[in-house]
Amino acid sequence: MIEEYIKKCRELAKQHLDRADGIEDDDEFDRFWEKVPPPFPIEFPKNKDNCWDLTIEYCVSDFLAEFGFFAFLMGIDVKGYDKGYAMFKSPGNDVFFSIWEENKSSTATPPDCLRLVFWMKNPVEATKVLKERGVIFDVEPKPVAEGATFFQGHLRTPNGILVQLWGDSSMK
Amino acid sequence: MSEFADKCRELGKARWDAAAKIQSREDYEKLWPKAPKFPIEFGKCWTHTVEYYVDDFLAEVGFFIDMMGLEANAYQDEYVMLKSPGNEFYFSFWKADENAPATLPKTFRMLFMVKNPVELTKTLKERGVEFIEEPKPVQEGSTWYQGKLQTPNGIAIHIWGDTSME
Repeated sequence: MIEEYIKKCRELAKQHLDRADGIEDDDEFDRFWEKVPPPFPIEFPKNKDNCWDLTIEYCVSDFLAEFGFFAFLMGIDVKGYDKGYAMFKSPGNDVFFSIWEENKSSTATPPDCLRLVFWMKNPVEATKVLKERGVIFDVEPKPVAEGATFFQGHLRTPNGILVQLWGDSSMK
Repeated sequence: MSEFADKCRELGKARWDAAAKIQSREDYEKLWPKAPKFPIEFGKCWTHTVEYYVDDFLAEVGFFIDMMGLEANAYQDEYVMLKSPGNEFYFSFWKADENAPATLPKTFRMLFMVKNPVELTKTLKERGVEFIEEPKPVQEGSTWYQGKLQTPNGIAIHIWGDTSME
């Protein structure tokens, strides 16, 4: 990677972040960030049943365990699979991600440097269902303060990847 | 965790064993084990984000916002959540530190599926994006394109595209 390229990226970011500092109003924040980037140049396919927009892929040593966890305990659909590879998606096509099995040219993603965060409106029910299926939570989702509708909790996949569950039971 | 992993592995193996026998759509319907219901209901806010860690935080920000054209959905010191303008996806990254080291490039990658690989490549090149392999047809006359580039922190981005796709 050419150092000049990296330097250019760094400078571009610094300009914007310096200008954005101090914006506290949400609407102003949205307006600011809508103006900042150049046009997004990617056109995505329309039919998400047969395709996807972006999948983020990570690598695991215990492939079958990770596969079983997402497909059978989390209930995420399998979008595609091949030997040592699987792509998952949520039923409504909101989420796509993939795993592949460690091999000679790639090593398992260390658990501390990647995490998945789900943001939901039914944290209580989802926790109950997942527990009934045998999912082990590190911290069960619970209100961040007494009476709060905002929930936080987390669990780990069999390969140790952190899955954070955030929810707001007042959300529509 | 070991028992839990064992259970997950057995579930995965059952499905994988079934997959090995599937030759047709009919086989799939018959053999592919029924999955339980996905229990999460998403709101109208963002649905999920995958978070990774980088050493050179600012360079990654500049790359994704100023070259790729993604929007910041949220940010704070040394964290940013990005999204596409149409809210098709979200992802995030943090500045790495001693507790959370940078995500190793060979352990993580992103894969975009696009319908405009030719125009996309032209636009990104004009903005200064450097490709490792420019997207091009996988064989002569094919509408199916593949290429790749890297973020400033070395995370691989694969661009797959099909110009015949709607």
